[in-house]
Amino acid sequence: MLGLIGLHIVFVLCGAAVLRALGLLRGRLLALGPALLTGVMVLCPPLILLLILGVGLRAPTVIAVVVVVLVLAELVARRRRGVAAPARPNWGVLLIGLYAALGAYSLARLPTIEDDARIWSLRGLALSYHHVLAPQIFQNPYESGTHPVYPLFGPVIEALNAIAAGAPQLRFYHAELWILFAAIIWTAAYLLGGRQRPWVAPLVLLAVSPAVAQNLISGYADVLGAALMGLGCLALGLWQTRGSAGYLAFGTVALIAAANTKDEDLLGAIIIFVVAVAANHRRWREWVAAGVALAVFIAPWRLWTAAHHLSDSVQPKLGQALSPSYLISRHHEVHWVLEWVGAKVVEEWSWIAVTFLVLFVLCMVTRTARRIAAFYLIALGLIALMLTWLYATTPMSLAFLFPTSMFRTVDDFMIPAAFASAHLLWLLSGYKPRPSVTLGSCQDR
Amino acid sequence: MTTNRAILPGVNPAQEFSVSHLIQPLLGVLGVLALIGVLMLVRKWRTRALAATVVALACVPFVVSAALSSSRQLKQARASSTSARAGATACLAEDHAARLAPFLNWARPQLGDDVYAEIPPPKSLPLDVWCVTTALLPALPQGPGGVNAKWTITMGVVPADIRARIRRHDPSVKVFAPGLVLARN
Repeated sequence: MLGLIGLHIVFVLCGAAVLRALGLLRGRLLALGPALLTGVMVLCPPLILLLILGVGLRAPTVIAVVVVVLVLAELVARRRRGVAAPARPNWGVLLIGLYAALGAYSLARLPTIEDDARIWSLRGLALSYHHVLAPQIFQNPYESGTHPVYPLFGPVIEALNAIAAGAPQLRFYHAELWILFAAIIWTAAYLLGGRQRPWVAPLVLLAVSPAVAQNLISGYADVLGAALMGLGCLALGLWQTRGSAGYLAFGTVALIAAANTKDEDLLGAIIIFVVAVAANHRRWREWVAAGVALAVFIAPWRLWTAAHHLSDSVQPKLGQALSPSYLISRHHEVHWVLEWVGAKVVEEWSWIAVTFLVLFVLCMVTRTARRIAAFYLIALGLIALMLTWLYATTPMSLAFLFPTSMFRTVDDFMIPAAFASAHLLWLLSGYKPRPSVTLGSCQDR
Repeated sequence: MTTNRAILPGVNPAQEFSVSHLIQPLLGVLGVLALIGVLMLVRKWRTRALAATVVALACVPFVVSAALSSSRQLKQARASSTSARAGATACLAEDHAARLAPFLNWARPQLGDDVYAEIPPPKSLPLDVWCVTTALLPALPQGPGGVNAKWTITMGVVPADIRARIRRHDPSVKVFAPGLVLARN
């Protein structure tokens, strides 16, 4: 238990250092959740990179990465001048912390079942015991129910818990997912900022909880990946409205984490990044650096799996899937996929879907934040389209895939839609963050 | 299209589309619209406060419902709490193979972190090998990597050579129960 607490303190320290370097640290207690999440997001991708390079995931490696992150963050923080800080966060985020703690207590001793037992915890456990990408597990083409290319963000978190506790903590992983999800909502509220309406963020958490709880309880990666993607999308939205490159850097970190969580989140992260860049292509110095970071921390795993001839069973053959004639021949499947996507959205996310669309229309009608509203609609629409394309061209049976996965994959655009709605609502309600006297302006445009 | 639908008997996504499904979100959206309208258009603080109170009260049933639903899910989860070892073999029950848990718990410490070969169970027991792999870690299943298996583990089907070794009372073959054997290669 002490080891786990120590690990989370390390996450918080690293995350706080990075938030400070990005000019996004404001308030200590109120930044606890964002710091914890940021720590996880900045430590795991380098550890994944080292694993791919053959460096074992052991305590000395973790300590070395922590030291490098802290030193780099300090160097960046010293060089930064006149950066924007988020508006002062409100006390409501502490209610999220309380909710996270209650949930974590409930989920801390759950059995390892379903896909968690066969994919995520299998890999986490293998890393915990063997510290490297054991070929018997990670190079097996039939591994994990024929998903051998699934990335390693979740398993590395599980292995870090094992290193800290001295033994694998399979049961605790469910609580960890819950804590990270709450920290993501906390971070979104923290980034948006504002002392007014402190009850909004806890209410959002409460509102989305019923739709996502079961996925977290089961130990699946869908909600974690989609929420990280949503946070990245929100941060890139704030980059566009507030101007500070700190938001772009934070968004990139979140998108890297999402892309390392699940396959569809990889495509989603790329879509969000490309759409944001297209809307702000003139700020090329900023986005080129972010794009390089994205490539450095995403591409190696894909190259490694390709080098070992691993592919996912649901993955369509790219040449065929992009062929117009093939796509036309699959129009029945496209129709069927759209029906299922619509059904699942109405069934599980109707509130968020309608709210997002109404807010979008309001933005257009009132000429408020039209550009950012369009960014969200295009990015999320493309993610929905990407999923439709994947389902319509997969070689696997849709009769199997729809009932077993569709209710989870709609999260990929509906959870980001919740984050986008929060940002649009903030803008529409006329909220203006107070400009920081010492650190420059963070005014939404 | 008819063919596709026939693949999924009893599941028709179109049936899930219904105007009634949209009533609740539409009411919610009216609330959101009212909130935004009031915040944007109304200047008098008393009117704002009154409108905000009305909207907040309208949200109460939704919030209470969400809170109750989450609380129920967390309560159910808490009730599913289990011991560390039982948790690691819980997936066997999903394959109707919970009875194998004692055998795997017995075999696991003997395997250590060696590589083992697994003789597939009979077809009557459609066991997912990756669930077994999780239960037996740190031991690794034979696969890529070029390491030969030090052990053979059987879960119902015992090959002829291992049966012969059992008959010879070979000390490197350990029988947990009929069909459940751990043999050092």
